[in-house]
Amino acid sequence: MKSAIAAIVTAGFGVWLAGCSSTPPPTQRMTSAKASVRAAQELGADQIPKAQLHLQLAEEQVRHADELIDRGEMERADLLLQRANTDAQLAIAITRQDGVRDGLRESIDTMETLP
Amino acid sequence: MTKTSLTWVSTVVGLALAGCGSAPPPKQLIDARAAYNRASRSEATQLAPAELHEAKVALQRAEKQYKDDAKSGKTVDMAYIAQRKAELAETQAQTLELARQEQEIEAAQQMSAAKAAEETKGELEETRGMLESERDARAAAEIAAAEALARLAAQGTQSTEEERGTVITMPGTLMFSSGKAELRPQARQKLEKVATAIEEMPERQIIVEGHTDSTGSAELNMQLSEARANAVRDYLVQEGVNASQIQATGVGPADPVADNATPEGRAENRRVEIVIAKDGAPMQQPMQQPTPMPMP
Repeated sequence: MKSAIAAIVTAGFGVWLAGCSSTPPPTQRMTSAKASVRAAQELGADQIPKAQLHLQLAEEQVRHADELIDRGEMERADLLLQRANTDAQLAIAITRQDGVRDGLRESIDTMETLP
Repeated sequence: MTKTSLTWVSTVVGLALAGCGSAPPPKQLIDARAAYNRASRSEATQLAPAELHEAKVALQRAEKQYKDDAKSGKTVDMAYIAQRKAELAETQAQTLELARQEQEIEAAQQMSAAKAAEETKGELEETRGMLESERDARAAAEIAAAEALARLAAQGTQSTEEERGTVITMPGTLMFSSGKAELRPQARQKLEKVATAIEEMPERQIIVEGHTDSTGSAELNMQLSEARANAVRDYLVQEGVNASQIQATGVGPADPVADNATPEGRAENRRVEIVIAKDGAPMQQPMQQPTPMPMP
């Protein structure tokens, strides 16, 4: 019995170790997350409060993922980059919505000034 | 089995049981569920179904992760991602709805602009129609005038085109006895035909000008020329020309067409000019004349 349990524990430990070091660094995920962040910045997400919040979250998570990659924690880094990507996408969507809302407001104003 | 081993096994089994989801769900997963619920009840179902589906799949993955290993930090990350995706679906659906409203307004504006354009077009068509019939009328009048003058020419009365209009020159010797303002019979015959031609051009202004040579006093020549012009005018009116269409004026020796040094030149200068003004030309103001005196 003791040897069986020891075997299970050793196997578990081995699995845990594998999760730490045999996963490759999420370079593609990092590239796409950074690209999304840049796109959000260029769109002017920092000008709209709600968008700026998600942009900042994305930037922080990218930085944190960078640190995790340095420490070899690839799996966690990958998840953080996924989070960063969705935050950046949301920042972009909110910024775009703001633009459309402005356009709608303008159309309404124009309509009301017509005879 | 020893007592220690049994403890070990029960611990392992207990731990295993604990991993089967009896631990409370992390706050992040609860938030993710709420976000998806809200998105699935919003316009996202209609306007952003693909994004909503992606959010659903992400939430399902997070739920599975939670069921497989409740305490794993992975559940929190996956729930976070699922929440953002639900928010994304909702945001994009709202944007599409706003864009649709803007399009509606623009379409309405275009329709009213188009309607206004149609009305203006209708008015312009009407005006153009009016102008065209005016133009046609004017063209017809021009043709009638040209034909009348051609007929006159065929009957022996020439006319010339000048800047001031069509000019019919009637020689003085034909029209009047020397020093007199009484029309000769031949003059009357000619003027009858001229009257007929003028009646073909009711819209044109006519000016009858009396001219003399330079012999004798200018003032007397002026009076004579005016008397002669009036005689011609009165006769034309008598023959049917509209009185308001025709004026008479005396020019005297002031506008010679030939050299007054020779008899031939002087004969040429003694004339009456009937000027048919160009279509649409304003009426020339006649010069102030003293009342005509009958010549002895």
